[in-house]
Amino acid sequence: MAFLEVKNIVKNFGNTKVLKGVDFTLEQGEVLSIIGSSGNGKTTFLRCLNGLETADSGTITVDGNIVFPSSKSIENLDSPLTFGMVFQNFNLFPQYSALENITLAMNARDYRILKAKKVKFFEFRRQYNQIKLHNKQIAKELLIRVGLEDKMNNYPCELSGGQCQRVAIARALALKPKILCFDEPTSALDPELTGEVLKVIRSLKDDGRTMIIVTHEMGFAKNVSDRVVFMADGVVEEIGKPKQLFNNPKSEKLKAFLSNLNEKENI
Amino acid sequence: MAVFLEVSSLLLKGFSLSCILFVLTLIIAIPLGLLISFCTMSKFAPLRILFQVIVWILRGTPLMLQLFVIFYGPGLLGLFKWPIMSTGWTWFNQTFSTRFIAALVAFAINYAAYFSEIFRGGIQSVSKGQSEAGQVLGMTKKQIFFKIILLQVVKNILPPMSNEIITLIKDTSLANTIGVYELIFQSKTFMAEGLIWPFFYAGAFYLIFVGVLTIVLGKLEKKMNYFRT
Ligand SMILES: Nc1ncnc2c1ncn2[C@@H]1O[C@H](COP(=O)(O)OP(=O)(O)OP(=O)(O)O)[C@@H](O)[C@H]1O
Ligand SMILES: [Mg+2]
Repeated sequence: MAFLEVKNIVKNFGNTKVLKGVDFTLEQGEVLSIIGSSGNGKTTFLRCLNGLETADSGTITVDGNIVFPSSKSIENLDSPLTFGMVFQNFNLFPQYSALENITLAMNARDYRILKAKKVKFFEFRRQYNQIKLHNKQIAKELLIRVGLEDKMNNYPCELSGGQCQRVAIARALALKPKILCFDEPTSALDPELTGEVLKVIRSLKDDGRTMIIVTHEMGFAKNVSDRVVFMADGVVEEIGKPKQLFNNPKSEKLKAFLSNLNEKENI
Repeated sequence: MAVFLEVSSLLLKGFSLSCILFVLTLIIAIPLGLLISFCTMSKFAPLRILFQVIVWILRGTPLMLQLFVIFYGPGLLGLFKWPIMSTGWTWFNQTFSTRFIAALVAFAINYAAYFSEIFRGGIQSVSKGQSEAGQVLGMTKKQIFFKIILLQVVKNILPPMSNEIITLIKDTSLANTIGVYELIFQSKTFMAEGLIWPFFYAGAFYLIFVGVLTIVLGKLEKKMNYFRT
């Protein structure tokens, strides 16, 4: 059984059929890129994985556990998140510093865990403060990891787009998701800033992270992914190794999509 | 000099009643406004439309009119009568008559309607991405509201709220029309003695109060300048 199994995911918005049965599997440590023209459901699919949208039907299995349709009752507080998400427009919390953006959700999680243990007030405070200190240390290491140790105490409005996105990546990593999803992580950035973000994602691949990346950066998709999915009209039209997909496209839709891209490059 | 002292003490008494009306109105209108804003944002259409109409009426008619309807309406409709010359009860040398209660009710309801629109705007202006980011990081709804959304809402609504709060202290003077012994009511009593300057004196009270409020609220706004939503 594969690490991630996506079976027949269907999603409609009213009368608009967006996903018409998405199917694929992913192995642990694999990096998968999703490409496809605008408006064909790539974002919607990632949102279904992350639980931001509820699919109408289908199943999602990770590591042998069914995560959709969800069974809330067996939710385990201690377990790491299944999916992490990096948004196109970062969605950093503006009132918190880079460091606090990362510790916020860790602290929130540990607060819940500690609450569930029902320790007395002073003991609770003591333990919680200790955990917060520990989380701060983790956050610092993550910021070093994405090359932002000198921006620790800066607020999002004081950071460039590329720096914001790197904080967002660190924030997602802090919760130790089994699979990290990116929705066009560089689309909101000035061209000269995309490199620093792509470099971080590349280094995550070298660490063996399982990732799903929706992207319009074809060069990056070619270089970083183990496999590429071409989505069209709400289904996986073609899936395969990047070389095979980009050099020997089988489906007509993918051929049209690629030649369209080439034309654009030649304008 | 004796006249000045007498005027001062009466105006101060009137002003303190104005302030009490001001503070009590805020204490009631802010939570009530929040509740109304949730109703006007409800997914349940009948509730939403009902409260949208109520807010429309409360914002679309003069506060003076609402004050009269609340004070005289129950009696004229034969529901109940606010006792006209009630002695009320005394607390810290202030008389809280039923007239005061009627004014408080009118102000609280009217301002709750205004506040609800400000709250609605403030909540809706926080981008959906903020709660989604919290959600994918595994935070609970409660944590998302209190740790992420709330402060951004407060920052967004502070400037319009400041405006309303400053308008409120001046609006309390309307209560004199139903015989609440607030600042304007007290300064009017000196007209019989041919004195006009107590009115200017009263104006100074409002000016100073508004000045202090402006500084305090401005400081608060500045405090939140460290981030942009
Ligand atoms: N909440 C929604 N309600 C109604 N329709 C929606 C909603 N979200 C997305 N859609 C529709 O679903 C379709 C797919 O949208 P989606 O954002 O998933 O596309 P995408 O592949 O991510 O496009 P892009 O490359 O431009 O980001 C679009 O036609 C869009 O209009
Ligand atoms: Mg998209």
